[in-house]
Amino acid sequence: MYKLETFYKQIGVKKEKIKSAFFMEGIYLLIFVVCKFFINSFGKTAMYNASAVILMIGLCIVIYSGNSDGTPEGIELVQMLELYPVNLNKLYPLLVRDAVKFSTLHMLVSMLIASEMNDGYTAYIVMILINIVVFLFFILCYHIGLYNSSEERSLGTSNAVCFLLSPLLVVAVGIIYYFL
Amino acid sequence: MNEMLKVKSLEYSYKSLTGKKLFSIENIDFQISPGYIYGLVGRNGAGKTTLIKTILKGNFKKGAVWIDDLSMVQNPVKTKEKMGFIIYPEMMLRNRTAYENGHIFGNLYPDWNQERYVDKLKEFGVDMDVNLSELSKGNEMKVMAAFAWGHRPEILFADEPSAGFDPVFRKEFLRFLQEYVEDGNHSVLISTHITEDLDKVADYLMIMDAGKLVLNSSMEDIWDSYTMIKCSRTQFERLKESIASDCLVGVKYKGDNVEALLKSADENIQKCEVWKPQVSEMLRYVIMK
Repeated sequence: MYKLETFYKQIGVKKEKIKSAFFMEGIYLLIFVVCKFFINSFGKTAMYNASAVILMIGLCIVIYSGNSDGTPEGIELVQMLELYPVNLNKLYPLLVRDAVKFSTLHMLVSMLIASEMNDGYTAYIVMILINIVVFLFFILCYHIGLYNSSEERSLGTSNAVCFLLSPLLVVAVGIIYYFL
Repeated sequence: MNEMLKVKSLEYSYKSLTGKKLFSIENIDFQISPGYIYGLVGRNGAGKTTLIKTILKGNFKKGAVWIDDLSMVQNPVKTKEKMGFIIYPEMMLRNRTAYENGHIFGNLYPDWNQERYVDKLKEFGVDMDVNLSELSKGNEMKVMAAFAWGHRPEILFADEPSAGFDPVFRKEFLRFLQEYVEDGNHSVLISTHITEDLDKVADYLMIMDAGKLVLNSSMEDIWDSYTMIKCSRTQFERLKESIASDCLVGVKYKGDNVEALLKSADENIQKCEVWKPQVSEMLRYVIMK
């Protein structure tokens, strides 16, 4: 029996996602290096905030955008598979698993950068606040009926949970880092 | 006649951010029997694509869809195995070849036959070793048609398939549709603006307007019940007095002449030029009504 996991592996989401993630992290690190170069001109607090915003934009791109080679993922993949004889409920855990994995990777890179700064906690706080805003946005979309199908609603909720879990994960790692 | 697909009181709507209904299809009822080609026509935005996608996805808000007496709500996977589609943009991976796409998506269907798919691609003259993104729209649609042939669903939904085809392949595609249903166990529902194609192959005609199904009838019944007439204005005024008002479906004045679609026409039309309505005429006059 051809399993959904085999299909998921065959369409190459994971492989392409890794490429995209590394590409994104690379861009983010580059932006950070450029920003650090100009840090004295702009002031530190502004830099931390800008850094957090860039981080969240990057995270959104990693989770939502299609890959550069056109491999569909997330909502795009769900919309495509809605037409095929697939149990979408089995697809969601695969999508969420990848989303969590790559958002974690993204958070770790940002933590690495934040730890380089003298006052990295400001960046954390802004990042967490933005995450919560995005989480509330998804919940709002759910309640006003933006999602047309039950599948989209489920996926929207999964994404919302990811956005809530990611900052919590960062806080947890931050606390461990602080005590060590 | 046994029905392969039954659609009852189907409703689906799009909503804006504020919850305002933007577009909806309402109270759609129809059946599809094996061995026939059903033509679906309507103006742009009438709801044809929405109807097809709602049935394929099974994401309707109200109503019910059964395929071979299996409810789509209760058996989403089993019922989707019985349906195929030719739609654009194609629901395949654009960064993979036609051959690879067949292998990846085809295996989601229990009756998938890669050999049959490859043979059809060859017959259609599609290069199966280049990525879909490098193919023309027409060739991408050919891939979708070959894909449907590869798993031979009981019902094939085709949404504007021939729009990207050259005239030569359009003919070939119509033959493909006829070949698809000729065993009497398969059906096709095709939505198109090229009504001449339906004149050639459709057994049934469905007309949609503003999200509603305004006509659903076999072509034979249409030819038995409806008549196109052409006569002078004077003749037409006299005719109008002698026929029941609901007989007149639609009328168009062309200078001194009048062209009209009549239902249940009687001997009063003898003095007029009379012919069986074509799909384009049915569409024009039924919607005009």
